[in-house]
Amino acid sequence: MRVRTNPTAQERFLSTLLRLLPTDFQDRFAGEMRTLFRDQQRDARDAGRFAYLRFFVNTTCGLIATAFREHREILFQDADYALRLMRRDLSFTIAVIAILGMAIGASTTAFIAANAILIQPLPFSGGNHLIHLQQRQPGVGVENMGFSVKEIEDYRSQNHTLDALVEFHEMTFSLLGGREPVRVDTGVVSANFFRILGVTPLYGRSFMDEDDTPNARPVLILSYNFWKKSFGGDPNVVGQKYSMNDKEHVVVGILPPIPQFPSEVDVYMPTVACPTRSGEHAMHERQWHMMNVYATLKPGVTLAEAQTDLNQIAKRLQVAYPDDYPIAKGYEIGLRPVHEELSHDIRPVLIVLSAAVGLLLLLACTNVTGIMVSRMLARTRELAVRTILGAGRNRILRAMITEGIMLAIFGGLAGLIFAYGSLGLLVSFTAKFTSLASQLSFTQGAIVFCLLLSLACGVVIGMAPSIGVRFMPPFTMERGNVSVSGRISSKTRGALVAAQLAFCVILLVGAGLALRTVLHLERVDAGFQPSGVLTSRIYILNGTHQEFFKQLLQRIRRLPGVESAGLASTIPLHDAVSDGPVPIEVRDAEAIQRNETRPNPPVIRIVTPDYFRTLGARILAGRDFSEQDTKEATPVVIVNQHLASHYWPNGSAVGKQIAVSPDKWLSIVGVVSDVRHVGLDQDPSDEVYGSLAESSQAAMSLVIRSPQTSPDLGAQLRWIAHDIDPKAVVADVRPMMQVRSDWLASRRMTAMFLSVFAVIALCITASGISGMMALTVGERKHEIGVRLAVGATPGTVILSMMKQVLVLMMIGLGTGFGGAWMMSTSMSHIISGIAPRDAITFAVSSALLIAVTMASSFVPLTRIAKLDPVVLLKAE
Amino acid sequence: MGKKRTIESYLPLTPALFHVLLALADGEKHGYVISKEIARRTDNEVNLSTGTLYGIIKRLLEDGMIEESSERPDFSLDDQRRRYYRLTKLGRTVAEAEAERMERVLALARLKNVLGPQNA
Repeated sequence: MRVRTNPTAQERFLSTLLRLLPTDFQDRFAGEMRTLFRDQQRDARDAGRFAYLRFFVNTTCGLIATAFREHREILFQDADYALRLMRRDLSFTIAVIAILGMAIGASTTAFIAANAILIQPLPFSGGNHLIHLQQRQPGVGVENMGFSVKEIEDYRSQNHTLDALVEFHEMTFSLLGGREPVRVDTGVVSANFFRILGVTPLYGRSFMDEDDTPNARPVLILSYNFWKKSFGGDPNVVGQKYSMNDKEHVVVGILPPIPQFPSEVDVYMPTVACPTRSGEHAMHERQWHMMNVYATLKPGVTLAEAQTDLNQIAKRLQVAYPDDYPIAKGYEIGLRPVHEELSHDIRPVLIVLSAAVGLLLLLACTNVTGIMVSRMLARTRELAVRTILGAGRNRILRAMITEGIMLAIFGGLAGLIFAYGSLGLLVSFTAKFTSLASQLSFTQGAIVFCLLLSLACGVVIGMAPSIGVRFMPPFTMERGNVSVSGRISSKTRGALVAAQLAFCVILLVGAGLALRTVLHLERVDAGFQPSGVLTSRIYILNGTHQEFFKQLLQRIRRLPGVESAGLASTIPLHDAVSDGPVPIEVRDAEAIQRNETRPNPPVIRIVTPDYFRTLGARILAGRDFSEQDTKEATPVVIVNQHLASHYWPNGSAVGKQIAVSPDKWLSIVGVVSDVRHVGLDQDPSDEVYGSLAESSQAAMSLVIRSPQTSPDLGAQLRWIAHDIDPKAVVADVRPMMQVRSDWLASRRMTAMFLSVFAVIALCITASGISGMMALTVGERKHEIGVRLAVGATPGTVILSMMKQVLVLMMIGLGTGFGGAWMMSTSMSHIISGIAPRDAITFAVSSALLIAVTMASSFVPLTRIAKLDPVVLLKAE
Repeated sequence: MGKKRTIESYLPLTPALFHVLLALADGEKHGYVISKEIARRTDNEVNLSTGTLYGIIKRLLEDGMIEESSERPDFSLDDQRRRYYRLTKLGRTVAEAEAERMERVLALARLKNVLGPQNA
């Protein structure tokens, strides 16, 4: 008889290795293997130290290799078995693959967007170290007033923490020499701009320092999109000469497809080539703020250190130039990483959409788990036979997980196709928020993510049904009696249905909030009447602005069908151009006299007579501009209601005076209704309208009111403009309705995505409830038969079963409402005009879900009415 | 149940597997004796570790080439934790087929002067 001793360290080592083997293998051979190990260990010890070492290496390698082989073999067996089951029950397989495919595909699509925009570094080598410098005037609410040339020189020469400091500003010029004159958005940049970014041109060269010196030959670099659009991707355009600003410019390079910032432009030129930037005013006036400034930090310098360094420069400038940086307005310098800036607008949208697809995935997994549990019940006899034939519970569990993984892998493949197919839609959607949309592509990372997600889903949906197996006593299985497993499974299915209801209600509330936002924005009074208004942007090159615009308006107004026409420096909801805030002085202001909070500086816009009437804005007091408001007449302005109520809440603003520049007082002759210029979701701000007759503008937006905003009107407009000035550029001809619609497009698409997810969720949940009830009726046929036999009516039986559904529904709705209540605040960035916990949305979502739940559970229950108790009891 | 396999479908055998069949050709043995005999016959060139040997034994059992012997040695010499294995008829046939296959290969090698003439 052997004496049982404590295992040695070597035996414990072997035991650890043995755990790598499949359970069945361990059960069968572990004892023998331990004995053999001891015998071989003794021999090896006798053979010397080297043999002993070799023995351990061989044992370890041999066991690992055997474990790998055994697991692989089992995997192949289980996969083969799962495939046969999937083929046998094709409708089940297709349903599961479709549900998982949609959810995994949507998740992969969300990953592609989030990865490219929020996670991945910018696609230029220097991009991640790039920061945007902003000059702020907190006293008057100016977040970024831009930099003047003088300020750039100061910050460039005085800082100790920046590696390089480059500038960018956007101009619009006419490019001549092609088939026809084209208006090109031009980025005016420092010579080392692209070197700092780490961008190498696709063709040609980048700007060199010599290109940015006085009297250098003007050169251009084309953006990728402009090159493709205007030159058909012809690389021979490099070296070609074009006329711009009455000078010959040579194309020296073409950029690769990169996300442009701060805005998309067509061409780039060095600063010295820009006539405005090289002008007297720009070069010498500290107030000539028009440049965006970007910088990279020196190696090892933190953002905080750079901030401290630049703050000191700002303080020095404030002391040295007190007139340029008045204490009342405040003066600060801010630093912001460019990556953060580029993803700022889309971040909340992506977070909400990612959360929605996450919920959809959870719901899909829950639903499929429910189906798997039901299927497991149907296979009880088969599993009992496998148990009797010697398959352990772990072996059965493993086979189930493999089956789940197989289904999820097929679902994942369907998801990959779904994600690949939706990439175009995704790019057009994200492009409404960020230029990083150009970086969205179907990468290997997306494929790996999709496969890993599929594996995770497979494990979840494969493991969940095993809860029934784990608790099923062997004798119960052997007798084919499913009562124990049935009870457990019934509870599991109930919990799964409640979970689906909870996920569904969160998605419904999310979609409801987004839809209500769009409905609100559709109905919001923007302060103008877009219907019947045609808009376009007009650029002129020579100095005859006043005469050109005067003639243009006269001739447009004479066109048949045109009711009115007007011009404005910017039109509402047009994101391409915007006017900046300008601090003003106000005489006899009531609010200021009472020392109330000083309003933010108003935006100055330039308009012509009849602009307000054409746009559909109303003159609330005083008058519109007239042809008599000329440069020689008393300078006058019109203010909006918002400004008037700020400064003169109790009296009329008409007749009061404001000053935009020191000692140049302007009389207010009218008050116009508020117009939502920046966005339909943005409250109106203070605005001052000046007359074009007193200003000089090279670019204006034209609005024409006509009952028929047909393409003919656009063609007539172009003809008239070119007839007056052949070099005039007429761009962006769109009905005002389309301008409004384009602005709403991103909100509409967000709401559409969330609604589609919610509808899918509703369908999946309905199928889950319906499936569960059908199975419950099937399982309880005997009980139903007895109840019918002793006199119960089908109605009372249906009612009692509906009570169970009601309990599940209350649990699901309650949990879902809790989740939606907490999550709705995170949607505050994308909703407008309604509260995040909007009672109507919550009420409608719950009503919809209750209706769908009742309908989907009632249909299977109607089978009860058709059951014959005699047949049921005989069958038992 | 799968289709009945032909003898040829088992061939060629891996060297380790063939050695285990050869070790059992002259009678039933337990794992330690099998590994010792293979090491001895191959001048320690083939040393089957615990995992490798029982991986092979499991496969041979599943394929029906070996079986567990119910006969045990004398009680005083027996170790209850050991199991004894012996060749089945199928196992012997497969081993013979593999040996013949190898013989044919050797003959071919000799014919092509890859190997020297037979000297034993």
